Amino acid sequence: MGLTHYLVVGALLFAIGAYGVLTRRNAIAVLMGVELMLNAANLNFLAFWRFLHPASMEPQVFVLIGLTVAAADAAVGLAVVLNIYRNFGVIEVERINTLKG
Amino acid sequence: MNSLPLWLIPLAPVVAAFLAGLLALTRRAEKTAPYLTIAATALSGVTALGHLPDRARMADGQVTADWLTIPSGLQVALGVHLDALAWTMALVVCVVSLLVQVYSIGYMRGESGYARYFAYLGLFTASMLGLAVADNLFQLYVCWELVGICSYLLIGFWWFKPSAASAAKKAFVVTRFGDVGFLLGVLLLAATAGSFQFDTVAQAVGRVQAGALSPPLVSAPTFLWLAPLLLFCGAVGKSAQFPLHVWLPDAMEGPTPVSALIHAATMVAAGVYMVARLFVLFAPSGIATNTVLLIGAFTALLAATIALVQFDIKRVMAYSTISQLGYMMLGLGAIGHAYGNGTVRQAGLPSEPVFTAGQVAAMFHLTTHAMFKALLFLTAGSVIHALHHAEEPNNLRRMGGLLQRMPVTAWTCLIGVLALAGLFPFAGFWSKDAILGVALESGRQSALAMVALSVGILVAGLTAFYGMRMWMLAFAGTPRSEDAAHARESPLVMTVPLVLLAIPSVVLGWQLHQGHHFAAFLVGEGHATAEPMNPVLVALTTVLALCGLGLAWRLYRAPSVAGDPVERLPGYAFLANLWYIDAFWNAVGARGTLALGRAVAWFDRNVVDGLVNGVGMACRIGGRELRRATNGQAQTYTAAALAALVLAVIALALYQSWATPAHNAASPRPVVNAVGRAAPEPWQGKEGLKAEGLPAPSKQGIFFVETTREGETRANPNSEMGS
Repeated sequence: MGLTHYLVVGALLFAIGAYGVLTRRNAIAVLMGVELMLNAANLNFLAFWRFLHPASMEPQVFVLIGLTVAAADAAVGLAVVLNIYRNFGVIEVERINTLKG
Repeated sequence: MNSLPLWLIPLAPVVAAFLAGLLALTRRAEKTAPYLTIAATALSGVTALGHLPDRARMADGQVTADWLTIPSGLQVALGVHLDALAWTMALVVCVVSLLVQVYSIGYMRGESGYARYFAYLGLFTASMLGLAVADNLFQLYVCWELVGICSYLLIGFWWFKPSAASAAKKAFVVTRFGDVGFLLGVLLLAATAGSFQFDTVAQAVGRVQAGALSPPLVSAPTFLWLAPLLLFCGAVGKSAQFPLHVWLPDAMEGPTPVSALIHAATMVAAGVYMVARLFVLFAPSGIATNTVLLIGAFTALLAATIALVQFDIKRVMAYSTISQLGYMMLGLGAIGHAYGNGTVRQAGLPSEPVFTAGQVAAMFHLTTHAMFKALLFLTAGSVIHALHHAEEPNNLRRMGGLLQRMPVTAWTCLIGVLALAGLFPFAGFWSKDAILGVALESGRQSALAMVALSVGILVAGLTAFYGMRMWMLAFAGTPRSEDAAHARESPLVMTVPLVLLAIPSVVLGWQLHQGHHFAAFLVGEGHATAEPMNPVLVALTTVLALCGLGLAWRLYRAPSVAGDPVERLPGYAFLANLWYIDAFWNAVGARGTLALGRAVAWFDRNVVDGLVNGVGMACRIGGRELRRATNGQAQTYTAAALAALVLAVIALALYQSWATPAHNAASPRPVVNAVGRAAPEPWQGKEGLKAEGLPAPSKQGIFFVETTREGETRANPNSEMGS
């Protein structure tokens, strides 16, 4: 199990997350995709730390910050979705298009 | 009187004109405006008189102030250089301007815009004086244009008359044709000499002639004829020489005193004055001097023949003015002998100002002509003033018999006509014969000068005829209209200037000729040599003048029944149509310009506007299409951002592999090269590193940027990344 294996897993996770963000109609599922992408980044961080800079502490700190941000993101995101639902009565993202030019 | 500072000469009328302009704005106390400008003109004249150049010591009054410094080292000065030539011109301007302004008090009484009129006259006087006393080309050019604008303003003084408005425009536009050449000439000379000062420019032309200096843009031989001819273009426009003479007859739409001052005595003579002033630049080139000679001679003949058939009293005089200006040009171009130590062909050496007989004769004629032509115009103004309720106050056919009703005007006018005709002992006799004498002197060597001389002699006869014809039509016989029968003499304020101008018209020629005062004054004591008049020439011109006068007297003595005798001349239609020159300008100048304008307007509407509108339309269509991309779907935006990121990464990868040529594999930074080139296949990079003998990184990333740092870190274990 080398660095490449971890990176491949990270890339797959990122791709799956991106796919979810781009294709899901449900806003909750979109948020889940975002979480997957964040975690893919965290995984890459840890893999690089472990294989390239094992003596350094910064990557772990970054990952912790990343996790925190992900949690906050989920909280805010869910609140936004809740409010969207209250206002529009739907959570299908393609029906929320008031930004249309 | 020397205590009066020189700069008063041009500046006093400026101040007066400004104040008169303020009076014109306030519309109160308009009556005081003329006294301001008249006082200022008198002050200028007195100042000039006090600074009579000392010809014995060759000392001229001079004062100069820096005006502008152009960074490349070109200095523009404003100055007063009162040498004999400038002094003569300045005094002529002051005298004529003063008398014309006094006369205008009567002539313009009751006109609306009374103060405005005097403000313009004051401004004109100032500009003309500034032109006369200029010591550099730049100031000359500025004042040249200033007198042009004053001419425009005064021709169009009665702007509500469409004919006056269009005549003003015509005068401005036609002279502009010449002024373009003049400006180019000034710039060419300044670029060659590196200065606008007359003496520096003259030296520079001398050096060009000697081969010591090469002018910009053109070769030295071209320069020597091109520069003076470009300057001459300005003179052709301003002095109404063929083919740009067409504006001057139309300029008669202005008030008659204006015609006397600007379009007879001073401004139109500015071209002659300029050529005389800068003749040192013309002298080295036969092409330039011969052009001046031929244009002058042809213009003299052309205008004199047209003057024969005019029925507007002012137009007779206008063509007469053109003809006389042609005479002056003829004199300048004929050159004659040189005064002083140098010969003409070596002119341009600064230490010894070289004058030619042509310059002296032309300035002589300019001076006397200013007097008698101003007189003639003012008498015409007096007649027009008396008839100004008539339908056509200028029409000679409706005059007649004014001798009994306006004796002062009639007799002074007769003096003017005789002076114009060049009859002994009137002023014109001396100056005209001075010019013809110069032509005769040059005619011994040059066939062209001989032709010009014969033209000049012929024109002398024509001049006498049309002058006398005009006088007979206006003053002799019986009145031919109701208005003429009830005409009354003009008030004293108008007749006194007539008398004052009649005096120099009689005596000035003799005074200046006698003992060669004028030549000695211009050239400097000790240089002037006596020039006996050629008795054959004098006899010939006198006989011709007498013939012309007598013929006119005989033909117009009795009221003619079968129309004017000149109408039976062969070629009358040709002359009455002004040699078809006006028609030519209308066809080529005006219509050609219009056609060019239409073509340019088409280009502008269809090509330039098309481009501009095309840009606008492209933006609008582009915006409309791009708007469809913003569909409000957050997922679309995200997809676009992701696609952009992917594209950026691909582009970066391609760039790295392109920027890393294969032969650089052995360079001091092999890691970058190896991995950059082999990004899709990391293990090859490892092989490459092994070949270099470097410690192989345990794991090669697929992000080559990271790898770069990695490689550096490995090669340098003490770097901060490694710690």
